[in-house]
Amino acid sequence: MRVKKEIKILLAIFIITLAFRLFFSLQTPNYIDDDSYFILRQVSHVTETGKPILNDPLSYGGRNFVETPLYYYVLSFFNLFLPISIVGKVITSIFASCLVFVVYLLAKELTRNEEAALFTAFISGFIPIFLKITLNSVSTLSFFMPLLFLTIYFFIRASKDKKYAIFFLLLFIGLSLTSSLSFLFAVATLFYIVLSWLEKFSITKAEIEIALGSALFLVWSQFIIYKKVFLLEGTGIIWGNIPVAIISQYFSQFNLWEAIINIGIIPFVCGIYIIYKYVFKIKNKEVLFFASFALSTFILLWFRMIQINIGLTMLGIVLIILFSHYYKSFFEYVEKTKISQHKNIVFYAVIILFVLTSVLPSIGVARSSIGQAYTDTEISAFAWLSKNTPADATIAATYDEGNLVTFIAKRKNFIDSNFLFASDVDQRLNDIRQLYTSIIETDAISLLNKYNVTYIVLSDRARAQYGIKDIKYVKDVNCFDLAYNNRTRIYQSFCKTGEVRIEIK
Amino acid sequence: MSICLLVLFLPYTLRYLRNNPTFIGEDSYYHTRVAKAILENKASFYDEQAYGNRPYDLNPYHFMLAGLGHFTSINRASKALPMILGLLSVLLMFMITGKMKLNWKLRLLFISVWIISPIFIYTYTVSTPLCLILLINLAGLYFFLNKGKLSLVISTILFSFVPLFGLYQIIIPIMLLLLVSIGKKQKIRAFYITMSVMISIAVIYNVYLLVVHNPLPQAMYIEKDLVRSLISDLGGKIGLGAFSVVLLLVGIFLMWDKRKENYPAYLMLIILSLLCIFVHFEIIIFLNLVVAYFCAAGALNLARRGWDLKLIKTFTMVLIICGFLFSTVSYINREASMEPNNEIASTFSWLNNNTDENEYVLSHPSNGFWIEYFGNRSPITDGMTVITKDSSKLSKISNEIFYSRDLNTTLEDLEGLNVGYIIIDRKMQSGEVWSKKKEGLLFLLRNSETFKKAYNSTSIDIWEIIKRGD
Repeated sequence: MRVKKEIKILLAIFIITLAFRLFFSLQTPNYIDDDSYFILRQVSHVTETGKPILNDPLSYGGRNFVETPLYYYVLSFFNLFLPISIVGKVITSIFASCLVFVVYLLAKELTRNEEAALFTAFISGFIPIFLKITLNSVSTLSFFMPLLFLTIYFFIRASKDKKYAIFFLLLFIGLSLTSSLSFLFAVATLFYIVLSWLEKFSITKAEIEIALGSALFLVWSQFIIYKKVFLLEGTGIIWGNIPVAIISQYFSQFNLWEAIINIGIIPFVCGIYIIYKYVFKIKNKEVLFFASFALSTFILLWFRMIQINIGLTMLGIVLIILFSHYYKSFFEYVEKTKISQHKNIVFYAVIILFVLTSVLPSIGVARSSIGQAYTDTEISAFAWLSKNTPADATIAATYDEGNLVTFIAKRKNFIDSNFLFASDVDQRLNDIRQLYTSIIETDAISLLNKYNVTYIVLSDRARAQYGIKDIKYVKDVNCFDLAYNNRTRIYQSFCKTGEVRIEIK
Repeated sequence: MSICLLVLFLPYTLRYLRNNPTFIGEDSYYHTRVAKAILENKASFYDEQAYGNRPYDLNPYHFMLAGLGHFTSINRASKALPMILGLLSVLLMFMITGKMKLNWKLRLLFISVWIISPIFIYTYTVSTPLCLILLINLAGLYFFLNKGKLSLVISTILFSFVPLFGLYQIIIPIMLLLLVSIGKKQKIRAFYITMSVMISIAVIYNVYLLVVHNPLPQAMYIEKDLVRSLISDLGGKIGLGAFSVVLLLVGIFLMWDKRKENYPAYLMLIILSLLCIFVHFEIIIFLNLVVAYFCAAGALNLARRGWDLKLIKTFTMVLIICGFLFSTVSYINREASMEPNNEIASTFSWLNNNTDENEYVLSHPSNGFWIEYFGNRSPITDGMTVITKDSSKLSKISNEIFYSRDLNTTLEDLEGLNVGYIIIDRKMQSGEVWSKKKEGLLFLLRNSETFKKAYNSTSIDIWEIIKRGD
């Protein structure tokens, strides 16, 4: 009966988390990032052909991709019997919400306390940074994060009981085929072994064997998948060939205050306290593993070797898992004091505190994600392109609209946010800036001709990004025509360099 | 031996199948050209084809290659000689490991790992002195380990050739012989004799070079992008496999308990790594031997030890085999696709029949040896520019020409160097020299009164400089 109640509460937590996500996610049919549209395009392609797009004639006017495709296949499976819109909104929300189950399992493994595990599972459903990057998005991280922590769970179980080794192995292979971020597991495990050795913890044979096997598989699989990228970029693959002008948006400097806000002040502070207490004072091996994870993530963030959002998410989930230990210790302490008779009041106070510091910020993040999503006017502009432009037209839009050009308009784009393995990204970023901000028509036409661009999309996004109200040189009616105007404007260009005779209406 | 034959033959076989009969890499063209000059009795002290009349960087390999060129064409000799030396090296290594009384499984695994390593493949498929350097050291070590005066004499003779490849080369045999001699009175005597002969020859030869040539041949060579150069999977031309690096760390860790027995290996690993990073990168061919040893020992240790998780053991052992195979296959495929190709050969050959032999050619140093070999012309810079007198001045002027947007200054520099032609290829425009279109010289080339495109192929343009007054 007691087990059933626990499962019921856990299911209720999952449903609340899922409902929270779906409530905000279904308020707009669109997504907050253009990467979602790229993933949807890949999923559609896998559903139709059984293979992801590796040679794309549309992105950058034609280029190759290097992908870890498992996520596309998983979503494609659901796409076989669900429309792509449901897959993108509902299935991804389900994946992200599954984090509560994984956190529950880990917290229970750590504390052997159901109440602590359930409470921790509940707060893991409201991590502001995780919501920020997965709500209204088809991000791989919705699937990767629960999978990563489930892999960690089976790593801990396999090191104690060999029958779980097969689960760990399968999950780790899946993790490696989902995202190159799986290297974080290998780094954390290495840190764990080194710290265990330094702190004179006994490292079990199973732990070393798992760490070794996973490190070898990771090196082998990632070098096979990214072979050509490694040859081209070398160690620069870490920064994903992101143009220099915008790299700081992805790999920004770690900021403590930003971390506290994005993770939640209670889990952050309590998690750090537990690391201090159980690593340096009382010495607990399982806490040490999570401490190693937190430390390795922090170091990678500090040296800007992982994207800030990803790093903060990992850090947040780890600190929340460690928070379970604090919860258990705190209420054990309360039991021993005079206020033990008011334990329920303390519990409700903790909940209120958590609601104020994590749930409310999460609601704020969720609401802003609706505002940040692509608007219907933007989407309809790209839909217009698919019906009213030649199939081989090249469309100029900002780099974070590029994947809308390929997915919705089904046309070639000038640039998009898939920088890895794309050529001349810095040059293109510079050129697109010039296209939007130039006041000299001949320069603009020269650029348009260079890339065979025949349409330029001016959305509110482009206006905000480049600080413009309109494109200055398009007033020449001999060379430009306003083909579409519904807040978002689309200009058609039909001049070649040398044909320019300026006539302004 | 069959694995050795396979890995050595495959790169050129694949190249032939892809219709590319050229040698692999740039350096092989320099060494072949030098051997050809020796064969045709045209080799003097100075390389007349190089800018600034720098001395030939002669060494025994060139004479060996020229010698083989008496029996077959120099091109065929350049392809065959490294492979022959590779087979001999493998045989010697087998005998040396037998003398060292290594366990037969470790011996077999060590030699196999060494043979399938990217560094072994490069050393014994690309025509450079590296193949002979390694063979001489192995042969010298083998005879040194043998008993008897005759063996010592042969060993000393062999090691006496080592200084002729470069001053830094003597560090390796001295270190090797010292390690095998420690604790053995007779061997220590032999070591002193051999070392004295080597150092004497090194001193005499380098004094001769200093007096006759000035400056000394390049004593140091440090790679700029070290991490990338060290690992072949990251783009290093002569680098360790990524998997080997991981297994090296595993091997170091697993053998740590037996470090007293294996102290020579640990010591050599540290010393060779430091020498490779801070003295001369080509020492990596010796470092590769130590890495192969640790990889083999580590893999054997893993296979023999009791595992708690049998499933993970099977998984790991399969991965180790797959990992090595991946690096090997990947590197062989890369070598088979390495430049030069037919386009480079035919484009640079155009220079031979269509340009003035007294005018120099400006291009990136990586094209230098091909300009000399195919085009029979002198480049401003090539891979050996570092040993040219005023090499830093040459490099500086070249860079000024490449990056300047001032036509007059550029023209003056070009005329000062007597440059008649400029070769620009796709790599130079994609980051090797310029990262933006119309950067520096690319902008100036639009001036049709000064520059004329004399020849172009798919990815290479040859620009002629129209002299003032023409």
